[in-house]
Amino acid sequence: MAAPESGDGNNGAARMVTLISSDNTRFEVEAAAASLSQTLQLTILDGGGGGGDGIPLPNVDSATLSKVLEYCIKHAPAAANGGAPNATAVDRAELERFDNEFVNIDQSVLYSLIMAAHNLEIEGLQSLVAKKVADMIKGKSPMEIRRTLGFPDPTPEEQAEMNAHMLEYGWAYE
Amino acid sequence: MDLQAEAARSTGLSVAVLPDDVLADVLRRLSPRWLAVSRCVCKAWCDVVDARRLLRAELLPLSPGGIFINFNNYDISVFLARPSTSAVRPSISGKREYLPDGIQSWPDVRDHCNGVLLVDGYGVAGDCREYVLNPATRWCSLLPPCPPPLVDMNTMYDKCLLYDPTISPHYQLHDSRPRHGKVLGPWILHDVNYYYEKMPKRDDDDVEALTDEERPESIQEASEGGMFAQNIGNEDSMYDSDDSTAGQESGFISAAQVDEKLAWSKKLNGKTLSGYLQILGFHPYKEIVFLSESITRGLAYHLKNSKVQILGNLYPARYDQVSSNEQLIWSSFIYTPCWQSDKDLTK
Repeated sequence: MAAPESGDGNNGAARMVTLISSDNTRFEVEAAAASLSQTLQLTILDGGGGGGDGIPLPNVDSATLSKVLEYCIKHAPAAANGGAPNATAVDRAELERFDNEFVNIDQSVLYSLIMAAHNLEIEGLQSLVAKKVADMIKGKSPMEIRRTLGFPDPTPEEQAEMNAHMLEYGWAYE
Repeated sequence: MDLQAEAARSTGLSVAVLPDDVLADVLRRLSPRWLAVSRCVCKAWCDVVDARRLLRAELLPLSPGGIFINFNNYDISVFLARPSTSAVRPSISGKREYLPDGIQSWPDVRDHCNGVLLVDGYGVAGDCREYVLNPATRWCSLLPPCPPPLVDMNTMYDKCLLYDPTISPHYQLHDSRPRHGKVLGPWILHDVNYYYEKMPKRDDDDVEALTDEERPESIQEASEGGMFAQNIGNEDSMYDSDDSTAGQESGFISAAQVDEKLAWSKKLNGKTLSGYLQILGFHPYKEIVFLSESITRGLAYHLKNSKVQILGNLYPARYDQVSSNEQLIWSSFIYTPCWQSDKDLTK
């Protein structure tokens, strides 16, 4: 969707838009990259974000936004090709390597990324962070998941409730 | 990881405090097994999973729906199951109607794994076709033509289907022929030795005889060795003689039920089992062994209380005409229907 828009730039260069983080840092990126966000796409199609205006993102701080844009810039060319058809195996392997590296991050950053991907509706990033969380959950018991994800220790009541729930789907613990 | 968790706890920003909407978006991408585990993590997670029906356990292959039996020299696989009375779901059928065109004979069921079958069929030209299909949802996929048989013409046991929808929507096929070794493995022992792992570890003599067995091939040897026949025969077993009528339709016997909800209508004490017993398979989640008595009668033996329940007639109606000698069962699979959407079911 975003490809023709960026390619039709009047002066040959890709169209740029400005995004403003919650702490007032301005980020200038190609419209094609920012359009990976479903939330921003409509605004950008309407011509928003250009010139000195900028699109304010009150829910995303600059550290998170720069991380999000790093993802978008990397994935924009593949997305413009409509996913995978033209991508070579090398390109895909490179993207995969980038993705793995990208989510190798602290949990507080992961938390911010999950929130940002959700707010900005960036499908690819949502899947990527969800997959990361899934990897942290897979193969673990509920107690181990709690420890891994930074839950406080359960109260005796919570512990009893956890044990009761575990009986309901016994097949999951074989 | 612990350090990370510590840091997350101290900053208060972690996956543990995601808002419900966002949490649901993360959790809905988990496969059923991890959803079931996540449900136990805390009340909030449980509520999110339940309120949004993220986990559809009723669609998973968690209970036996019947038994596929391959009789020696019999051209079709026989499906022993309780006739469907449910209006909610379509009846499970092995009829041809959902098979692709060009299949001349009813195929053998070669392997089963969690609701998905690997079947053989013969096309118009007599060529062997292989399908992976789900009889519950009637999804079917034609496999690429099989490579020509090697020196050993017996290719009956050389493919193994692996599928666990609680973990992944993808199925795998493993070819065990030596020269096709490159597609082999990694073998997932959990799946291959499925029924063995489910065998209860007990000290009882009758059970020990089975749990000591390690090689899947020896399932039949174990029963032919008389271990079960002897033990069941000596028990003061209770029988039900709910003589289910064997209805024959398109080569399928829809005779009996496998579920132990069946009312035990009559008790015939003091009777002993006659003929030889063969193990048809094990209940995936309960301590029940399904047996064939002289390839005629299906039995469910409850290990817990040594009770025997009669499932009904197994013997194919045309078997005498088709093959009057060498009548035996060469393989059987406990079938657990899987109702999950097949849209993602890929190799």
